[in-house]
Amino acid sequence: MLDGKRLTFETFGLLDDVFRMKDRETGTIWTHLDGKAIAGPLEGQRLTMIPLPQTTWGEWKTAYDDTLILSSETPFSDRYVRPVQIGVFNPREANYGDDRLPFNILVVGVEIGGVFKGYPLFDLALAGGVVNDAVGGMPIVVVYDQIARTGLAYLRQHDGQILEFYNASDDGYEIRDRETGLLWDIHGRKKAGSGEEVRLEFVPSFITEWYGWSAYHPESQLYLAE
Amino acid sequence: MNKLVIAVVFVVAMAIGCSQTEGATPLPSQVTPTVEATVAILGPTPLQVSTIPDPPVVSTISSSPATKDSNPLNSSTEPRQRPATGRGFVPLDDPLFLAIDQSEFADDELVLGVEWAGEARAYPVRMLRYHHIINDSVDGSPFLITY
Repeated sequence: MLDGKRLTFETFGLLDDVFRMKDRETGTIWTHLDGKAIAGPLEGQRLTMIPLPQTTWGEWKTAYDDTLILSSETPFSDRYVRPVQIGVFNPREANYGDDRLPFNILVVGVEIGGVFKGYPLFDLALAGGVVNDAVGGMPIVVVYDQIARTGLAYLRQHDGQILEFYNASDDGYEIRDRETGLLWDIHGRKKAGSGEEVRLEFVPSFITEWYGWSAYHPESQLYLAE
Repeated sequence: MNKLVIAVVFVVAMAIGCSQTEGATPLPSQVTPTVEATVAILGPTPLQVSTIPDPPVVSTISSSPATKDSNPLNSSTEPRQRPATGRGFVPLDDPLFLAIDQSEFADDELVLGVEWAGEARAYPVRMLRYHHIINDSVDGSPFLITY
């Protein structure tokens, strides 16, 4: 519960082909990619990012057996029929960002300690879906499950110990760490029997297209599989 | 290219406190002049969710931005949510949720998932692709889903 007032948002035009948002309560303009207030009464504020993994409904309800799902019974229900086609894109419409990658390549964009780094899904897959890295001086792990289509980053340390993760499955996806040998799920939760939940700290990260990521963060580092 | 017109509804009201009352009377709203924007067909767009920060207390909003309601069809008595005319993005403000066994979605439906305030919620991407913004909350704790 927050002491402040609740803000509600709507879309507000584009910046480098990525939409901006406007809150109705103060009229402040916010960026979509990183939740920064760039104009208006709340300029300089920033929203805190929490994990929003992309996945399939089947995978999600298995991982969270008490989950709810958004009802499609809304005044707009006739607008949801168009199938989602990930990766279908008209490059003429997004001439932003830099040319290290094609504009519409999907990356897991990671921000930590003021440092940005993009991990192309293709390269994450080549690396077995688990990349142990150090960004901004912090040890992180970037995970990408091709089947569930989930990609996120976490701090790879727990109880003062730095962990190194790997995909322990030959033909599927199963994250273990070398230090304890135990299994983790893609949501950063340790699968260690019952008791207190152990989980890795989320590092602000999400799947996004290269054009917006590199336009907003031209200094972004880029991961390429060896 | 691809010039679109998005009608931006600006609600001139302050939500005091942190929880919204169920079934509250519609907030008074005014309609700003339409905003012309170049909107690309948004492909697989960035995925992000943000919590609402605790903003500095804004004492009052003294006045609305200069409004010029040039469209007689825009009436403040209209419900805040209605299907968009044209191709603008309409945020979803009062989302309703179903339990797993009430859902009609197939297992291979692409969703975004969130854990917030002890609750897990899934949002089908085909719905986010239309709305792009969902103003949601759990037990009065607000968060924003944006795609």
